[in-house]
Order: sequence, then structure tokens, then C-alpha cells
Amino acid sequence: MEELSHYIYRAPPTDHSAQWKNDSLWSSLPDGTLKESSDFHNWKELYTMEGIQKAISRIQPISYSETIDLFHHVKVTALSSGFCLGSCNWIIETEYNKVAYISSSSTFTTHPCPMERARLKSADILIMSGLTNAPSANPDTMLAELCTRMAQTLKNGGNVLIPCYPTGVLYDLLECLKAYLDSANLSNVPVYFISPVAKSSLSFSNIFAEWLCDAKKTKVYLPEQPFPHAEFIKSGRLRHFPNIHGDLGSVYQTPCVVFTGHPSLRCGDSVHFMEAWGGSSKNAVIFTEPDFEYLHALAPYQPLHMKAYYFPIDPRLNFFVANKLLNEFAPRCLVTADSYLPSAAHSQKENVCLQPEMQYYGLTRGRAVTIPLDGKFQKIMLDPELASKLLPQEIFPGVSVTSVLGLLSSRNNQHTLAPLPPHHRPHTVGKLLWGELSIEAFVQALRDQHGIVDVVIEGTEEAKTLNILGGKATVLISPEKTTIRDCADDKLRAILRDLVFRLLVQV
Amino acid sequence: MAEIRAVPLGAGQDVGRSCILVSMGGKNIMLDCGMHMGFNDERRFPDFSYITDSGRSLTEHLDCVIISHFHLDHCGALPYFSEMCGYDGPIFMTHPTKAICPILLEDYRKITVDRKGEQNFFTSQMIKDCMKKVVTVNLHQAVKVDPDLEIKAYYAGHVLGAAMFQVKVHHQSIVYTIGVCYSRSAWIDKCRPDLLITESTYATTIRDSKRCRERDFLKKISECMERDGKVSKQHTSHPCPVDSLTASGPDPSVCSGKSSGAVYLTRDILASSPHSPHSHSYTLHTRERMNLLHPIYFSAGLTEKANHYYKLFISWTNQNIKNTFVQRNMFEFKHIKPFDRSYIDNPGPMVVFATPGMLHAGLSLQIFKKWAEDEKNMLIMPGYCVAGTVGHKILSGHKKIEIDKKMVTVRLSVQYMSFSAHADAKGIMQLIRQADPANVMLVHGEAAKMDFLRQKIMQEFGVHCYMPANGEMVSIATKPMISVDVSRSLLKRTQEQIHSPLAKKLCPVRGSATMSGLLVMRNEVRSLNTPEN
Repeated sequence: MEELSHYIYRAPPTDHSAQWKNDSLWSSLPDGTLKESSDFHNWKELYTMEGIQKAISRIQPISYSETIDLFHHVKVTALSSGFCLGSCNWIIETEYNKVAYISSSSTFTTHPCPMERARLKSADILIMSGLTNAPSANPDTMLAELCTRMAQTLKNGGNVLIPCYPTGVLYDLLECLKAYLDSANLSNVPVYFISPVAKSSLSFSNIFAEWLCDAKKTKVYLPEQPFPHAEFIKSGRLRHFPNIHGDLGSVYQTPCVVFTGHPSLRCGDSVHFMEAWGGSSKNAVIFTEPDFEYLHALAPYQPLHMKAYYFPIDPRLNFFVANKLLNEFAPRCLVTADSYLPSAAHSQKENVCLQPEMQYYGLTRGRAVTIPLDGKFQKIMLDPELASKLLPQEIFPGVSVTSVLGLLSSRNNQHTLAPLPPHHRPHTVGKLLWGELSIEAFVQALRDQHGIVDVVIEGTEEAKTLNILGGKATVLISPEKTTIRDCADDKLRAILRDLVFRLLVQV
Repeated sequence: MAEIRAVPLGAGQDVGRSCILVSMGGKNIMLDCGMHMGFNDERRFPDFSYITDSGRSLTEHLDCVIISHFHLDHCGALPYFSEMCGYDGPIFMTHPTKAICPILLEDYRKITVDRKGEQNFFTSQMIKDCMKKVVTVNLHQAVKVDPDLEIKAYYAGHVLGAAMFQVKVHHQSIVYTIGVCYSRSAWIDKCRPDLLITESTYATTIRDSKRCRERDFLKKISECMERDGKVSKQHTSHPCPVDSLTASGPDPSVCSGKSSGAVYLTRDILASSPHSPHSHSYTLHTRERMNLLHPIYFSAGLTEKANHYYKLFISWTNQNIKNTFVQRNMFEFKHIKPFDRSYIDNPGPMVVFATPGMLHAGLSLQIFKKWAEDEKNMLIMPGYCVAGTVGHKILSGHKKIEIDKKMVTVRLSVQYMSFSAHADAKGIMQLIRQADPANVMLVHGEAAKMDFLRQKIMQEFGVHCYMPANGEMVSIATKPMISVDVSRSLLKRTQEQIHSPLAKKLCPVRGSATMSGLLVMRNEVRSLNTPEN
């Protein structure tokens, strides 16, 4: 962010550069990406350094696997996603439901901590985004190609420009580059890394060992710097500068390799190098960031003599791996961008789109998706004193039941049930009956114990009516309740009541 | 009723060989595994037969071992425990601890075996094998040792990588806070543990601010040097054993001839718990006023290596160092000179920072022997000394001390200045207030001082406070809450009562309501329902 802000405000936009926004001018623009974005009136100016600092100051840093409790209701946990330093996927869960959010992740072995997978399994909802922008390019092959082309160019006396972001893949590139230059007998070629944040980027990468892969992590125990670029700098072969104006001039020699931003070639020092080197076919520009269409990026520099290569290195998940992960994680349902889902446009191959075997929802910009979650229960804490007084009765094997009467208090979304204060008895406390009243047993008991045989059973499967002694009493039996009705004879009523009690469990 | 049991195998009413066994919810955890600096016989290590006597092996009995920081009185017995007694389970520590701990163990082994010629001690290979059993934890990372046992580290600030640990088994929890230097960064949630185990080294001390101490420290050095400069060009030297180094060595100590930030370093590194806001101007001011022109040495080797670790683990130091490290790495000292043993007899004043801090062995003791008898010299003791060490005798005012069967007369001036970043009484009280435990247990301190603190804690917080001796068991009954699923409809219905106009009539307790439901227990699942369901 600092770098981008720096690049933009180094040469602040002038007033008349906003004139294309006038409707009359805009409508005369050629067809293209600009014309499709109709909401450009709402475009904001880029943040400033002050804005960045303000925003960052609100951030609460956390560790991987640190569980953050939000209002005692939702728990949030970050898990390593293996994409870059500190990148993470998220688990958002309550006691009963779990939502996993997978963003830019990588299963390749690069510098950061590997992707943590175990806890992403069996979520109710899995949100998947940030798949690779270069699904057909294998990063390892691309890297090998890049090295070959670079060596070729350097051997022919040309310079190599690699427009890039100041962190992330760059660290791996530098590491590979060092090894490759050594093996290709090009170890005298200088490498320049030019960015306002070059120094901090390189320094910071070496002090966050905890966030690195095991091989790098163990290096600090020796103690050595986890990244070889420290060594690279020490030997004077890798040099970093905040911009092209200062000390670069005094050490600059060609042929050389330059890493600088911005990868869009619209701002930053890459612009300078494009202009300086564009005229010679000896030189080469190699694109590694798939975020920008490289032909678009080059458009303003045409006609261009310098060679241009596009070797996208994007270690994020491709569709093939994402599909495998989906099977591994087996969520109840998947939420992902519409463009990742199978459609008529895609052939049904598993390496061009996601092939979810579970229920899925597609996302499009500005449209909300509602997914029902099971929310029948909440957690409540029973006070141990109250719990110790409960005497559950076993009504079926493995199932015990008891009635509970307690004092509920709810604070911060946490509910506890404590014993009632002494002397306080609410009015409406009765024993509860539990079980299923078997009509056969009921009729048999009437006959065997009380000699009552005149029982007529009517009604449906659900609710039965027992007409006893030709209308002296009616017993309605349904799964929810049993009612004794129309009974004038108190003695008979008592018999019926006791029978019901005996056949059910009182709790 | 559930209970938590805790037994100190070491550090019970004592300082040294910290080792506490905790049993809770069917899990057994060992907190620290240290050595005792005051002993050279079998008493230097905790008595693990306490565990093995029950007939179970260490690995069977213990679910995990947790190491709070790299000082030897907290990790010194680890290779003995894991390689010679045969513990094979996981050992948890932070990354910096894992990095520095083996160096100190190796140093300790060298002194014991190579110099003192002891047999039957752990070997270098054993240290390496032991470290392979170590699992590292990040701060605040909730680590599941097994499905029921969870541990979590908090920043403690005593030395690089020092951590407090929270251990949870179901609803029971304890917090182990050794090596806490109370400050804004060393905080813990209001986690309400059933038991909080804390150190009490400085139980009766409430120290003045760090800055005052540092100013004092520098003043003493410069006065001593000026005196020499004027009076004569005689040989004057100041060995300054550094506590943090002692047991450990992180102290990239430091400092300054003319232009490096002596104060800065003193504050941040010797104390190694750098949180106080720094004022650069203050540093400069002091430096100029001090005008130290004489050489300043640090014992080489270990110090250098330790210094390197500080550079790699900058994220574990304070915010200020972190923010400025890109421009100026605090731990790259231009003016430090490594000390060589041959410099001991060099003419002219010098300052030497040497380890160990308790003067029980090594370079600091060697220098002390040479310099003790000249009253122009000064010795600054930076921290606590365990009973039985030479350092302890010096601080107790002994004027004649036997070292290696030779009597040494102490003539040099002795200054005590605590840079050691242990929590003082105030810090301990603040920590207890923050965590809000149901019980407190004191370890790592002297009995008399502990008792004073114990009274104070019981008075102020109204909680039980224990100070068991080694081998004495503390048993705490806990009342774990029982978690039950409640149906939303029952909960909602009851909650509505709270806000209904009849609330007062229905329930005498404000903000509560009586709930009546049916508890159904099906296998392990407990749910509370409305009677109708």
C-alpha cells in the first residue's frame, strides 16, 4: 500500500487529467474497459500515507490458530493459507455451526507456513475465493522458463526488467535467481531491487521466522537469516534502492536484472525502465504477475523493440487442486463466485471450473445469498450445585430424563442456570409425565385390575378415543397429551388417573 | 467434585530448578524443568522419581512439558529428563526459547563436564536429541495437545521468548506466569483460571522506575572511572555480571565507548524487557555526560551468538525497536569489543560485562578473583543470586570468600542493582487482578518473602494463596460448570419474562428469571427442552 501511494503521489495527478469524466468526452472514448465501468463518478482518490497509518492503527494483530471470541457468540480463528507471509483462511463458528472462508491459498512449497487443512474440514458453509489468475500455468515450469529467458538475454548483453510487487513471490524469485545465476555462470550480473519499501520489505521478511516454512524456520536456530537474500545483499550482488534518482546511478552497470514496480507499468519506476530499455531488442521485460493483462500493460509503449515474455507465477489454488480440496473438506454447502462454477460456457472439465459435489450457491457482485442454518439450540451452563441435585431417571436404555427448575441469567450472550434462591417457589410447578401411553397396556390393566371390560376404541392412528363403560368416561390419547373427559364418577377418575401415572414416567 | 493438584518438584519456597507438576481433568502437565545453581550434586535437578515411583514411566504419566523461558533454572534439566530419564512426549516452548535454550545447555554442559570434569552428565548429542522433541508455539496460538488439553502462550517479557502459559482441560484452567515483566505488552485476558501459579522472586520489592535504575547504573560506572582517571592511571575494572546472561545469555550486552547507546542497551537488553517508551534525547544526553572513553568489553562467543538471535527475533522485542529496526538495528553494536581472557591484566580502566551473573563459574568468577582485592575496582551485581553461589555471598556482605579452595578478600566496592526483569510485588498484584484467578500458588522465591506476599494477596483479593514446599501437594477443588444445549424457544420464552412487567412478581432476583424445563440425556448429549417437546 505504501509503495502504491508513493508511486501515485510522487507525480500527483493534475486537474485536467480528470476531464475524461465529462460525459461528452467519455462517450467519445473508444470501447474498452473504461467505458464499461459506469460508476466512475464514484471513484475515490487513492489513500495517502496518513490514511494507511490510520487504518493500520485499528488493526489488532493475531496469531494463526488464535481464537478470537466475538461477543461470546461467534468465534473466529485464522489458519495459515500458505500463500504469503501471514496470509490466512478463516473459521467463523458458533457452538453449532461452522463457516470456513478460503481465500488466496497455496499448496505449493514456497516460503510461508504451509496451508493448514485439518480444521477446514466438515464446515456447514465453505466460502471459496482467490483462486489463481493463471490457472493453466504451472508456477514451477514458469519459473524455469523465466530463468532460461533471463540467462539468454543476459548472455546476449541485454538487461532484464521484472515488474513486480515488492513482497510475496518476489522472495522466492530472488532465492531461485541467486541459485540460477550461480549455476549459469552469471554470478557477476548485478540485481537491483528498486522500490520505496525495498529495504523494509527485505528486512522484515527476515525477522518473521515464525511465519515461515519449516526449512526456513529451522535456519534461525543456527542462527542464520531465513532468506538467502540477506547473503545476496552482503555479497553486493543484490542491491536495493528506494528510487532511481539516488545512489543507483553510482553503482549502475549493465547487463543487469531489475525488479521494480508497479506491475501494471502505469506508475512507479518500471515506467522509467520501459522507456529507457524499450528501444533495444537485446533487452527483455518479463511479466510474472497475472493480475494485469501484459499486452494491455505494454500498449502505451508500442512500438516496442524489447522482448516481452509472460510467465505468470501465481501459486494460488487452481481448479484441479481446488476440486480435490473440496472433496477433502466436504462442506455441507459451498459458496463461491459465479465465474468459478460450471456453466454452459465452461466445458465440464475439472481443471477449468469447480465441480462441487455438494449443494452450492453462486455469488455475484452486490447480491446477497441467504443460507439457512440449523439454530434449534443454544448453550447454557448448569451451575454445579444445581446439577448435583438433579436425579435423572432412565426411561429408555441410554436415555435419562429429569425436570429442571432454575434461575436463568443471561450476560454477554452467556446463559447460566443457577439454583433458585431459598424460599422462592414459583406457583406453577408440577411433575411432568414422560413416555408413550400404550393403549393395549392401558386396556389390559383396566380389565385385569379393575374388571372394566367395556372399552370402545375409536379414532385415528394419531389420536385415539377410549369410550369407557358406555360413556361414563372418555380418555383422549394423543402423542402430546392424555385427557380424561366427561367423567362424573370421582372414583373412576382416580382409577384412570393412577393408571396413566403408572404407565408413564414421572420426572 | 473435580480438583486440580499441583506439586512443585523444584522452586517450592526456593529459587532454582523450577519444576511443577499439575494434574487436572485426568491430564498431567509439567511446568518447567530447571536446574539449581546452588548445588553440584543430584540436588541440582528436580527429583523425577516422584513420578516414576508410581510405577509409570515419565512418558506414560505426562501429557506434556511446558518451558516458560530459556534460563537454566527453567530448562537446565531438560536433556537429563528427556534423554537420561527417558521422557519421550512433547515439550512446548516458544521459538526464541527453542533457539537459545540449546546454546545455554551446551555452555552449562561444557562448564560441568569439560572444566569440572564431571562424569555421567548429559552429552551434546543428548541436547540435540532433546531439542527434537520440542514443539514450538506462537504467542496466543491455541495449541491442542490432544482433544481435551489446550495450551496458549502469552508474552511475558522477562527475556527474549519468555511466555506465560494458560493450560485448559475442559472447563478447568491454570495460568503459569514465570518471567513476567509487567508492562503494557505483558498482559493476559481476564481468563479467570482456577489456579494461577506465579513467581515471587522479588516478592517484597517494589522497584523504582527502570529509567532511574539505569541512570544510577551509568552514574556509578562513570564515577568510578572518573575517580581513576584523576587519581591515577591505575588498573581499574568493573566486571558486571549480567543476570540475563547468566542463566542464559541473551544478553547481547553491550555497550558503548563513545557513541553507541549505552543506556538504550542497558535498558532494553540487560533488562531484556523493553517496553518503556524510549527517549532518544535522554540517551544522547547521558552518553555525552558520561563521556566514557575507556574500553567496554563483552564476554565473546556466547554473547555474540545470543546477540545474533536478538536480531532475528526482533518481533519479540518492543514496539520501538521493531519500528526503527529497518533504519537502525538496535542490536548491531559498533562499539562493543569482545573480551579476551588475556585482557584481564591490561592496564587502564575498563568495563567488562561478563557472565554468569551469580558468579558461580565461568568468566565472571575468573575476573572477580583477579580484581576483588583492589578497592578501586567495582562490582555491579545486576540481579538475584541463589543461595550457595559466590554472588550470594558477596551480596550478603562476606569479606572473605573461598573460591576453588583459596581465600579471596573482597575489597572492591560492591553495588547491587536489579536489572533483572522479574515481576516485583506490584507487577504480581497487577497480574492477579488482570487474570482474576480463584486460587494463587507462589513458587520461585524465598519462604519468608513469599509469606509476606501471600498474606497480601489473600487480603487484597480474598482468594486462597498457597506456597507449597518441594514435594508438597496443593489440591484445589473446582466446580466445573456443565454445558447443556438449551432449546432456543425455551430460552427465549424465559428471557422474555425478564423484561416483562411482571418480572418482579415472577422472580425475586433482578435480571433473572426462573426457567423450568426438561433435561434429556441421550448418551453424551444433554439438552434442555420445553416440557411439551
